[in-house]
Amino acid sequence: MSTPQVMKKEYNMHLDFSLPLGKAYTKWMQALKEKKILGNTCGKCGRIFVPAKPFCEICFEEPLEWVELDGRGIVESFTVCFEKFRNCPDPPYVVGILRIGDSATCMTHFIGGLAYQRPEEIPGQIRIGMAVEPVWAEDRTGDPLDIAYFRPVK
Amino acid sequence: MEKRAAVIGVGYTTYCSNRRETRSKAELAHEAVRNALGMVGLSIGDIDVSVYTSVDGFEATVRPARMLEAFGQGLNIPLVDVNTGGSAGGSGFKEAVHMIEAGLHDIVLLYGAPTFNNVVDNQQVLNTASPPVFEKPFGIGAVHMGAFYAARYMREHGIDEYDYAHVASKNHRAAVKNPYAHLRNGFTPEEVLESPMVTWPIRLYECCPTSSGAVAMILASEGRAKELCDTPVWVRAISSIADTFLSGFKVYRDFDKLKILAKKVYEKAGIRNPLKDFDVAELFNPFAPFELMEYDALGFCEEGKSVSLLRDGVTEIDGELPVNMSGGVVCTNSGISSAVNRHAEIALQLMGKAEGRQVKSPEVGLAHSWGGNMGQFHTLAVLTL
Repeated sequence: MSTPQVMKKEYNMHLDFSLPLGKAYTKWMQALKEKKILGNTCGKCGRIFVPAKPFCEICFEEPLEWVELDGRGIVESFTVCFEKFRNCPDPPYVVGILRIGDSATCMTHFIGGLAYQRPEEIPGQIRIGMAVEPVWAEDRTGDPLDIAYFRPVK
Repeated sequence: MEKRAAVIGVGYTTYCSNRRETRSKAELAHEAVRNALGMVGLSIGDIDVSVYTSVDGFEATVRPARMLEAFGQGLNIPLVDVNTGGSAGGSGFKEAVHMIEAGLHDIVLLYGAPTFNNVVDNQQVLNTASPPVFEKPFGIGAVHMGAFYAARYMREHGIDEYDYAHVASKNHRAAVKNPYAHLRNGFTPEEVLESPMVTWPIRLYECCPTSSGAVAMILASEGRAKELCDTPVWVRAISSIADTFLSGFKVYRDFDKLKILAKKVYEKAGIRNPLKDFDVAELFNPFAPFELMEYDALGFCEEGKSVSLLRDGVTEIDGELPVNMSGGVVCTNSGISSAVNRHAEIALQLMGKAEGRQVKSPEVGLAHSWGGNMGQFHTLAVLTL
């Protein structure tokens, strides 16, 4: 039994976007260029946020104060990717859910600087609650990738 | 007094790999809708409103909702498009129920679309669900989002990788009996453990496929449901919950939002002991470990004790609460269809029409869906005879 040939038609879309970041994100990104990790604090509940937020979503208030942190944090979760996906880094790479300082929220970023002989050893190198610190990129443009990755604190 | 809403019809297409799909979106829609109408002997002209579920990126700017003639669009009826990421099927079901309960419409068509059968590289599109600037650049696709949960839960409660393989295997074995499942390989836990690690700790056979296929459901108001159907499946309670777009407050230790949602829905539905009160459940598990975390959040067991339910066979077909006898999302994932499928499966189970996978005389069922960046949304529905 032969199935009839069914045609497929290809097309693609190339779309460009330019995203206004607003005041809070702009200030936070510009600080990264200076190798500074800032957080901001809700005047009502006292929660601190890294990355900075335009307003506290619990209180619906604008954060008031800015603080500078040393950039150290802990790993709340992570994954080690072993497969290659389009537009994603070459494996193996590690993405972490990181809490910087006393931030109420976490950020996603790469974890690097791990010692291993075989990639399968990498998950065992990372603990929940492990302390990490930022490693800065040479070229910084005011972007989360101004931090190249976070590495375990020795 | 609220008017009750019931499911009176379900229509499926068969499911296959998205790469092997030759049916057009229009053909899939026509088949699913025609099968659903056929179950209750209605025609397209009997539909009062269509609820379509869609998700960004996969459809580009060509939204099938606006071009598919399968929804009675030639017949001057309204079309409602619902988008809450992968949970859109659950949210769409909720909108259909609300419209009926509000007395706005009597017969509602709900369609769960195939999402993956147009796109060349699915992970690339799934990566667009990740917030730009803050999260997208970190190589996060859907499977990575699942892995953050699976990793933290595993480390938090000392879960063994065998347990994750075991729950995946339970779904694979169940799918063998489901003529509408995509993957019907029946993998053993050992075979699952031998499959490649995609992103730790999720292995390939613990991961959903990209399937193609569709599902349609017909919902009706109380009067019409009793006229048209011998076994209408009543929606006793349904709700949804939303988290932040950014990863934010999540630590991935559990499905805390689902726990909050369950409390609300159980109260409305009069559910006091979920393990005893439910006869069958369909829980959203694109990554098999999610099923275990859902046992916890839904109160089937204490926090972190899900593995004992699995090991004791409580959630197998002959157990106290069979879960995912369809094979779940981990065996069939047509995208948006998957969230509607959970409700369709429970409806079929209660109607006694779950071919090959029928649980013995269920009367109360639970349908769950999850979706959006890092699991931004959950929906939960209690269905009864």
